[in-house]
Amino acid sequence: MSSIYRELATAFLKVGLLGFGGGYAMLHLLRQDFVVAKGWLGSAEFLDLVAISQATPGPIAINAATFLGYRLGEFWGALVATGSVLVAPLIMVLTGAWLWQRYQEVGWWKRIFFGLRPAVVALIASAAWAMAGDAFPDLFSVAIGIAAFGLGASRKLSPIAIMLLAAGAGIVSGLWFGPNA
Amino acid sequence: MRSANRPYSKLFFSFFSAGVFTLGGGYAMLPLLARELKEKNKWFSDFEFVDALAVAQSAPGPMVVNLAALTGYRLGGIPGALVAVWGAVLPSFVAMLLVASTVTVARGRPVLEWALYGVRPAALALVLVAAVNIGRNVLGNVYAIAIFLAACIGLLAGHIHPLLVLAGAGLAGFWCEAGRRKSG
Repeated sequence: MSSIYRELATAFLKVGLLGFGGGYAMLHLLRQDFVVAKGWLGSAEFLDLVAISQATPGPIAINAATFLGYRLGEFWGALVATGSVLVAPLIMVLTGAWLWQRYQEVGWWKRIFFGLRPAVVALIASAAWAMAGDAFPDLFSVAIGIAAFGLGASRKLSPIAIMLLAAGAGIVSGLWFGPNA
Repeated sequence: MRSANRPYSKLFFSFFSAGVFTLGGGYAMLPLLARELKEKNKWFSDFEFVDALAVAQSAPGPMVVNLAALTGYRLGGIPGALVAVWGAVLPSFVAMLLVASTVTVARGRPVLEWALYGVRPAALALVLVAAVNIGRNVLGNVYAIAIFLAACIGLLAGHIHPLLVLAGAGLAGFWCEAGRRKSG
């Protein structure tokens, strides 16, 4: 195994292991490691990576791993990086799944989950809160948000259709108002 | 576990479609996943779905991928987990290979930024839909509401790490007398 693959594997194993808190927490770790410590990527390049990761399908951490892996080691680099970043989360979540199957009907386990459920709602609500900073630059985007909420809550359209419509609305408004919309 | 034939292709496509439409954060596809996993395929009850999310959020890594592993494991053991995770990751992998190999295809093309301008508020709205739908099931008593509010304050005002919030909430649930009576 050549050294770049080994470096990628160690770097992404570590990010996967420490990346509690989802994609953005992992991006922070990647920045520390790749930009600050190793200097594999410039600051501006890293910002590009974040923007591209958001604009392409899939979880941000996976996008970042594939992208950086490809940049540093082409196809096999991408595969090594993406595989490595998944190892630790998968081991932990499968352990969790196993425990869950085993203890689901046990009293103390149920009592713990009684407390976890409201916290899950809080985590989802706080994810929405964190997105609010970028989501509403003007009134039209607020209108898109309200329309999407109405359509989503009334269950008239699938979330996929809502996302496609919203992307379409964004493009139409961009064409209409020009590049600064 | 429920039937002899394991639903590998359904697993794959449920998480593949969630992966394709995950833009700017995994939580936006929660309404889609709720529909696929609970309503269409009946792999989870309402509460089981929330519990699965709790387990998925307690591990490192992207929530969608963790939920894929958990659902796959539940339905088809380790092979099921790998199939579902592969479904969730494949769209990312292919898209990023294309982007990384064509270097600057996205740069300087405002269409992408315009689409994102529309997608961002819609994604946020879908996250809120998920919070409301799940909250309606879960926040049915005063203890749950108290834990929810405390967790919100901890996350938003106290900037406490999500993992610590989950740990605190689990402890609170454990010591809550209502936990024993009402969680079933």
